[in-house]
Amino acid sequence: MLMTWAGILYLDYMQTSNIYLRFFSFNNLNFLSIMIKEKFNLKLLLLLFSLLAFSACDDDDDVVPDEPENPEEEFTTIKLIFDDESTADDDDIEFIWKDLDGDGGNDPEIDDIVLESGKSYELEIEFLNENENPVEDVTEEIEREDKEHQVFFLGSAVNSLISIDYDDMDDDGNPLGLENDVTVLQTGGPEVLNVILRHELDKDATGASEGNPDNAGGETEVDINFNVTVQ
Amino acid sequence: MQAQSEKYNLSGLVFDEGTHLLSGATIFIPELQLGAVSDDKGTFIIKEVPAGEYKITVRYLGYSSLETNVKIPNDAPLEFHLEGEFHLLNELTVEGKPVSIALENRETISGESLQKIRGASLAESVTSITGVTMLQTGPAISKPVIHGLHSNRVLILNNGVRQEGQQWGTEHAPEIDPFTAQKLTVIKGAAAVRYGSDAVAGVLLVEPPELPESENLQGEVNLVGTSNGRQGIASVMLANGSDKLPGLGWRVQSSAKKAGDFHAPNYELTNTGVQEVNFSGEVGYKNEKWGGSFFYSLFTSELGILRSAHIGSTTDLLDAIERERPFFIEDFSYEINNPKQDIAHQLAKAKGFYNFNEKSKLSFHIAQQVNSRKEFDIRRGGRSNRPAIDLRLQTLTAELIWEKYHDNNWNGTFGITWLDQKNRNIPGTGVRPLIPNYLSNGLGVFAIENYAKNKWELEFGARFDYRRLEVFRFNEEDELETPIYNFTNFSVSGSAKYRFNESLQYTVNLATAFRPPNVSELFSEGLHHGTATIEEGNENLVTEKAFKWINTFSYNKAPFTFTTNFYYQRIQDFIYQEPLSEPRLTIRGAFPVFAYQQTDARLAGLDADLAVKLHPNVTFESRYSMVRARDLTRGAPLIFMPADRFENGLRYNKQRDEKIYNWFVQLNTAYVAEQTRVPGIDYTPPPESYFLLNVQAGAKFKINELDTGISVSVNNALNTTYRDYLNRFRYYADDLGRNIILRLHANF
Repeated sequence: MLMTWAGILYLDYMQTSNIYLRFFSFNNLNFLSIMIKEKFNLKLLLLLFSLLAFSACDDDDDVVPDEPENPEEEFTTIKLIFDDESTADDDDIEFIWKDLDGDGGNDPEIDDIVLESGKSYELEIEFLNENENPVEDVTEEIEREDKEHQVFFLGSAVNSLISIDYDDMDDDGNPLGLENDVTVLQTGGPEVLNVILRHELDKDATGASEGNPDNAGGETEVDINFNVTVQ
Repeated sequence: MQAQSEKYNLSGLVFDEGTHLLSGATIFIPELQLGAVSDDKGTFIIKEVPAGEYKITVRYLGYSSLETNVKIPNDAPLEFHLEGEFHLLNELTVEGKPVSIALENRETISGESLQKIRGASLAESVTSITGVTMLQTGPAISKPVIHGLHSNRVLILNNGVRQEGQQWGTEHAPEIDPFTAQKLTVIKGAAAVRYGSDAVAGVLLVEPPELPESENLQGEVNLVGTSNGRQGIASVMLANGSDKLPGLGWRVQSSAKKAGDFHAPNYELTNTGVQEVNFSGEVGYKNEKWGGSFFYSLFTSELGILRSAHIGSTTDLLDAIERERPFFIEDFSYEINNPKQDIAHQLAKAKGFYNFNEKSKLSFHIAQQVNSRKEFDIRRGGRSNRPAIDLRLQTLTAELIWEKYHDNNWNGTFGITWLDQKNRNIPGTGVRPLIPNYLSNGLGVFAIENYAKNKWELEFGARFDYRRLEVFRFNEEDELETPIYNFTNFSVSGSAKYRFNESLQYTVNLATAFRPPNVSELFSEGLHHGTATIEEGNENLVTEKAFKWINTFSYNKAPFTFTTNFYYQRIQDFIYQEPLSEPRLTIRGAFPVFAYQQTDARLAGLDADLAVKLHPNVTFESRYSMVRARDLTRGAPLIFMPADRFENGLRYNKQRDEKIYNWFVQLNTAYVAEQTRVPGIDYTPPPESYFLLNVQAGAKFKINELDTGISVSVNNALNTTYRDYLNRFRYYADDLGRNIILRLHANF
């Protein structure tokens, strides 16, 4: 639009010498009276409107998007990796919650968690974006912003079938919840394990460091349920 | 300087809004200290006035004082029309008379009425009109609601140009600086024939002052400070004409606003600050035959969204509703953090007219708008300074109007309108776009005929519209789709006004209006933060068609002024969000899904205004508005309809000498009922009814040549804790607490 104005002023300046110089100095608005008396005819008016129209109808090619916007912060997949503490390291069991097509579309695929009675596990959680190629490990971002994040474990399985204790901490010494100790309490199930990831919460709130998010506030980034059975 | 040797008599008549002559009105030329009082026939003579041009003021008790320029010698007797101040509750003046060729139900806020609410947002400013409420998203975002409808069902005309922002969003406030306006007018009616699509419930017109036509520097300064939000607002306007070339005029205007966190009675509303910088300017020339002007305006705003309203899941929302106090409460600050909006809106307009002869006039305008909207979210991994929504909307509108006055009491208006629009998502947000890119074109052709004779005025209109929409979007498989939509529509309107006698008149308006589905209703897909719902667009929506019937009775006989509107509106294929029975499981838990559907809806209601002059200095006023809205297919009330409002006010107004020539004290109360008619699909029931008390006092006086005014208002004087059903942040926090507002005004 400004270009149009400048263009018109320039065009007319080319033909009518120094009238417009005064416009730029703003010291005397009589320039317009001169302009209107002498020059402001219908022709100029038409020129102006055609230019205005041109400026509006600039090329519309840019309305066609080149590529889809890449949703960067999405999680598609959460992996719970249980490592039996009594055996060697290479027998991890993974349970996966996966929803590749985002909030709409198909329902998520959810594994059922099956644990063995009498065991203790190390539980590690991974957050992945599998729509990226290669797969993006969002866990690293959470680790980097550890003071702003915390994982909570709720649901009927907690303290009935299993107990979960934090086994990591952020730079302030508050729990983060990416690494945890799980103790199997008794056989039974299925019961629900609810995994919650909060962002920008108040980690000093009452109960937060004991795994209770009720007073912690913040924004929920992940809130998913698994069925847990202890055999 | 002009020769001042010649002296003339200046004579004229003083009327009220209608045809009543006013006796006892004061007519005064401050510069000469000359004046007169109108006699019992409403006439006056000021004798021996030297030739020249002067500012003249006309004042009459209970009426807005009028200021205008007169040239002496003047060939015809002057006629002054004063506007009654009977709308003391919100200081608005109602123009019950037909405006040139339009018979719509119009109500206007201007002059002193506007002065007293300076500093308010555009939507808040027009809530002083009965039947107009506002839809809020916290203290900084408000949209006008006319007879229960808003957003794409209320058309806003900014300086005659359709305001095209991203108005589909309930949290997208109109990008207009109210200080550009000299006049705010609301047309309560389906005004599609004249104004095109979207004028389903009504139209809001924001009109800047006319350019001066002769040399006389005019200026205006407004300063407003509010205790709540520790807000400061300043606005300056300068205008002048030229005597060397009469008809040439210019005007520049600028305003700025800065507010920090607002507060509820018991806590700070953290991150609700606003910053605005606005500018507008116009230069133009006109003579009797032709004229034209160029107008440019820039609106920029940065505003914070209540921090506690940013939630991630249904559980978070339910927690927020449970909580007595919002989760994030910090000390007062001017800082605006995420989530926030960053908006710029530019409008450039060229307009012109040509008079073929006294009875035939051609006028046109062409305008370009560029709307840029950036919304910033709280994000992970250092992405917070990248916008999550980054939209750029460019709109060209053009209009060609021919007005023809026939001899036999008929006159007609014929017009062609054009719209060309392009919406783009600026790449790089790292978020899937909420609405797709699109191109849209529209053509409208209309004709309105008006007939006036004796006690009757009649008006008929018809219009044809064509709208094309071409969408560019990636589907879920990331394939580019380019669906094309064509919408056509035919609208008609008819109005009649009958004057029974000098004090009673009746107007009826019958009109159809339409609205093609907007792109968000067709294609939005995904989670709506803040309301914790998943929205699903519907590609098969068709044009929404409305019919509105308004009956207006107005009675004006001292000491009473009474106006009432009854309206009935049917909307066929009303687009609304239908809750689906199954919530959808996402990674943030389960969310209810709302899919855009169409139904038949009915809205009916009434607005009533009463003013009684209890004593020459004391006026009582009362306003009531209600609307009942139903989804006829499901037999349920429509969601988010304004609750019944009942407002009362008492005002003492005294005119004094020429120094402090007017002062007033007023007390207003507002009672807003609980909305009990709800479809029951909300997270929480509507808030309880509430009662607010507002107090205002002010005076006008003269310092040298400067007309100055000062006023102090206390809104929510009792510091009442309340929540309003039409504030979308009622889930999270209380509404504003006591607010003391100081307004200073000067003009010359």
